Amino acid sequence: MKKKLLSLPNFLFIFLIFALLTPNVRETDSPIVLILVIIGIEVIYIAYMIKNDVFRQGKNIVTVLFVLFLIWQLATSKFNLVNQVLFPAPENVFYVFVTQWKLILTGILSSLRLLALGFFYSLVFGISLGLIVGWIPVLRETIYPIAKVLSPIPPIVYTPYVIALMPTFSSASILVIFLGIFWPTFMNMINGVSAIDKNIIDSARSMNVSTPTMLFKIILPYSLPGIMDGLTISVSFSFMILTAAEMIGATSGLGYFVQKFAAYSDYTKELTGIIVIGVVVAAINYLLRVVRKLVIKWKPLV
Amino acid sequence: MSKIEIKDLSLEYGQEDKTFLALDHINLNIEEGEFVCILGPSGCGKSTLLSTLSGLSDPPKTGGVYIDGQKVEGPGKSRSVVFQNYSLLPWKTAANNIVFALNQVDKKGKKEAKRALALQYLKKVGLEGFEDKLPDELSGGMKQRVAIARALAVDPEIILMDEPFGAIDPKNRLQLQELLLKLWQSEKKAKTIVFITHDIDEAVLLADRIVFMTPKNVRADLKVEFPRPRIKEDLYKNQDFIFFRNHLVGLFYANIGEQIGGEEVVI
Ligand SMILES: Nc1ncnc2c1ncn2[C@@H]1O[C@H](COP(=O)(O)OP(=O)(O)O)[C@@H](O)[C@H]1O
Ligand SMILES: [Mg+2]
Repeated sequence: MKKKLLSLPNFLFIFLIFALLTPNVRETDSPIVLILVIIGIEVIYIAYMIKNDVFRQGKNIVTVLFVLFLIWQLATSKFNLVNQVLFPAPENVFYVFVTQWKLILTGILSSLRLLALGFFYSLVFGISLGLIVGWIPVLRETIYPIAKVLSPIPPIVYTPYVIALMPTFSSASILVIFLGIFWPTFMNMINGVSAIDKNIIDSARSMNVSTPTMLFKIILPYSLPGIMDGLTISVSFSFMILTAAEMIGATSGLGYFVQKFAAYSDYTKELTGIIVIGVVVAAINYLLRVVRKLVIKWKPLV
Repeated sequence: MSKIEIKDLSLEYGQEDKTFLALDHINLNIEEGEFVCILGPSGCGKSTLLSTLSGLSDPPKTGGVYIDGQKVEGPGKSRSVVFQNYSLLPWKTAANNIVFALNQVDKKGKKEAKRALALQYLKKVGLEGFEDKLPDELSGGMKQRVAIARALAVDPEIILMDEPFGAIDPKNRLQLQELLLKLWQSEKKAKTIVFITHDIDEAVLLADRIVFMTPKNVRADLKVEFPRPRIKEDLYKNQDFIFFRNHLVGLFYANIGEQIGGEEVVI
């Protein structure tokens, strides 16, 4: 236990707090938010360390994180080695959470709402249409080649067009996310249906199952692990599409937040926005992993 | 009328110019309550023949299969199938795999009643206490026990088994063979079993009748007269058994020069 407490992240932690509490060359906002964030990371780190014997990965991640914070703080606030406008102090970037919390919070909620809706529709349609098209040979032979041409078009290409086309920005972003996620889900599903273990299909057929049972009680659960894995990629991807769309035409949301301050060359707030987006994506991915563990207790065959 | 009548059955794989004739004008009758083993080297068409009985195959090129005089056009309640690779749904527990099968034959019945029935059949195959295990958590032999329980639970008239013990180690295989015989004999009205194997000893131990296949066709149809219950060790001491077994081995090898080549033959 003692040896664990003497690990590198803990030294870095003390060093960071010390750096934040001692006088700086550059004048900054209060370091309180940054200190709270760092303490938060340290608390999580210690909690994990106590629970798990082997925790090398977490240790390395926290080390890198703290080193980055330290370099950032020393180069800006502490010794003022870099341009003030282009490289804002970390204290300032995190203090934006205090001054702009309302805008950030509404931004997160607004982005998450659009994301959830677009995601929901694309999953429902992508999975069910993919199942049906994949299962019925005539449909698969006709639609798969067409879909193969349409699916690789990057959504960013038609985003401005969709925004111009749709009556509201919300509907436009939902459609853009829908198109971005629908194609990979749909294609994956079609491929999944044809790749499914033939023994399972034969066994189900020998029980004389109906087509809906075959699709939704055999093939769908069989494909679920693959779908869940795909989701992790899709979430990050759709968040990219959404923030891009928001930067073009929104009046709220995280992309809007970032875009608005970039336009004023307020790089402090822009960095805050970028950090928020990163944290939100990471949180969603973490949540998906937890859900996957809860839902899928069996090892996929392939 | 026999329970199962195979009349002038031919089946072709592939389409148009690339076809392969897997069964060539087969005729065979199987009686109600009979335990028939279909024996033959791998690749001779045993699985194909079974798939025409289960209704999983494409329509035959000529002839057909008749069960109680009715032509087989697809899978049906009257038959259940046990495959070599267990074919349990990996996301369902042992009990739920059986309940799923029960749901397919009886859409209405109560959930609790079906679960109770599933547990009863798991007990019959010696898996009491394993009802809530996922297939991943069971050994091959245990998975096949679940598959047998599932096949029996739906109370079919005919059970079709395609090398069900082929992937199981010898010790467990013998246990499963004995279990299958016990279950078959304990039914009030004996079920008709069509059991595919390429293991001669397995066929002699289990069957009332052995149908020996050569590629595409039936070569011999032999009654197995040894009294039941048959004990494997006793059979090996029996002169008649040794004679009968040698005859079957002879049938296997009669074919070997022309057909098998590099393929594995289990004797
Ligand atoms: N789906 C298929 N398409 C084409 N040929 C097949 C197919 N299934 C089996 N065959 C061929 O039919 C023959 C009989 O196969 P099978 O019935 O599986 O034999 P067995 O079960 O006796 O080993 C083999 O030569 C095999 O290659
Ligand atoms: Mg076979």
